[in-house]
Amino acid sequence: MRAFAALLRKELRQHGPTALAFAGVLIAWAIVLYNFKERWDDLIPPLLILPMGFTPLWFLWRAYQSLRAEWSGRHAHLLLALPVPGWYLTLSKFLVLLLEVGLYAAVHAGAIYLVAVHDDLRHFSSPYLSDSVGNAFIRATLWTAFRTVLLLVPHGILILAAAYGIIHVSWLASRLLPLSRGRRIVSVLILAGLGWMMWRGAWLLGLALSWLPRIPVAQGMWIEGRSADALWLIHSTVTVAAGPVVGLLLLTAALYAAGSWLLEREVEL
Amino acid sequence: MTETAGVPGTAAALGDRAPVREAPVAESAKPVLEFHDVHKHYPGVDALRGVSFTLPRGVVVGLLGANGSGKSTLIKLAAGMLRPNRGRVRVLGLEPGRRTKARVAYLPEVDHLYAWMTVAETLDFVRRFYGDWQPERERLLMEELGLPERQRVGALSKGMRARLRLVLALSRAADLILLDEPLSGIDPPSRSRITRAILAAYRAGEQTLLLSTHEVLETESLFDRVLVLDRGRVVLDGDADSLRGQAGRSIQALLEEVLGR
Repeated sequence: MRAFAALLRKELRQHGPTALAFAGVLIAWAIVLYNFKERWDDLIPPLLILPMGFTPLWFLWRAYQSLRAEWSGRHAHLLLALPVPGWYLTLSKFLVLLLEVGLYAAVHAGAIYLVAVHDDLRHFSSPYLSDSVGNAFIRATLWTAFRTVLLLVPHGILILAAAYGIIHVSWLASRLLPLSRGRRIVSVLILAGLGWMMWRGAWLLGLALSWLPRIPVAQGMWIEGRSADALWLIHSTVTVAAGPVVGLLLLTAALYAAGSWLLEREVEL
Repeated sequence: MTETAGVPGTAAALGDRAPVREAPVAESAKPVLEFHDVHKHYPGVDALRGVSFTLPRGVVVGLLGANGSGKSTLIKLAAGMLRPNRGRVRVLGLEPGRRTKARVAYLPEVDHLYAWMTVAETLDFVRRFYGDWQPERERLLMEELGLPERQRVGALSKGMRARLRLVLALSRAADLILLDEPLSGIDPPSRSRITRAILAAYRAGEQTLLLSTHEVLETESLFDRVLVLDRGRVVLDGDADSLRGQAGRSIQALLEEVLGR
């Protein structure tokens, strides 16, 4: 674990400054929106969500760059000479990227809350509800949103892990071919092929594992009825079939094992 | 039934079906590095063509040859960075891999350090992976080579970075030390300092050192044995003193003769 911790720390040091700089940009963007929220009223929600829409693309780019930089900077000579399993290198990179995305998501969530939700909640009033019922309604809404986020996070992590594994293996596989030019195109082609195989593989495994129980992915809440001093809410849990999720989990583990094997046994410098 | 392997006659007494174990070979008697008919091809190039040799423990071997003769390829094969197309490479009897990497110190030809780390951070990062790290040897080498601990690697001169890479390779009690062109592109005063550091850190009799270099004049006093490669083949392999004695001159002169320069 000492070796893994050292790799993790190295990745944190390597990617930390960029991640903090971008988090700073996001915070600055939220401050701008906060100050113009009266003037840009209807534009605020899309403008708040806009940077979050780029996060998946950013993640893919950073995943590719984190590998490419090791080769272009010749650091691969240092990393591949270390007596560690290949998955130490893969997982340490992925965990730090995950932290980076988590940081952006936390900044976004904070910005959305402060810019678009906080004031509305503070001044919430309804002609149909008493203050105490209104406050209870707000608490229930926030709890539902929080629970949905908690349920979605593991699924999000799984999808990012799969995406990172695909990028990692396609990059390494492209290094196995004796090419002097066009390696990037080959890497993209392998990436597309692997992505398709993962998608179809998870679907097929989902069919084979259809006997598994459904798993929750989100929390829903509906108002069923109200009176001046009472509100009847229905909570429901949105579920999906576990088969494809477990299938994707198994395929992702296989992908990381393949990446580890390529790093240790096949990739040459 | 208790097996008593290694006791003469026991296997016969147990009958033909009794398990026979090989007598244990002392670790120090095992060859440290073996190449058996090793071939390595790159697209359009045969980098190594049937290279065979065995290195025992405790020798300093000079790996000499012109550019493109296969020196770096040979070292990378021993370090586990490349795999042969044909033939067999063994380090301490094992196929190069994770287990051998723990016992091999490898200094590549390229500058592979992180520019954003300081010298101290680089040492701290690398030492965590190796159980054979020698803090005392690291301290002595740092003193000998005059490296500033707090400076960022990116701010060091080429010569200083070469010294740092050398500290990383020589601070370990590795069984096999592979140095690929440690003096390449280094100014003459630094070269002699680095050569002195190699001599100071090397543990005679315990470690095997394979040093690839073009700077034969500066380093030939270190060598116990010389391996000369030419276009992927071993063209000379012999004891350094005998070669000097036979030729009656320096290894540099002998090399020029062998390679026809």
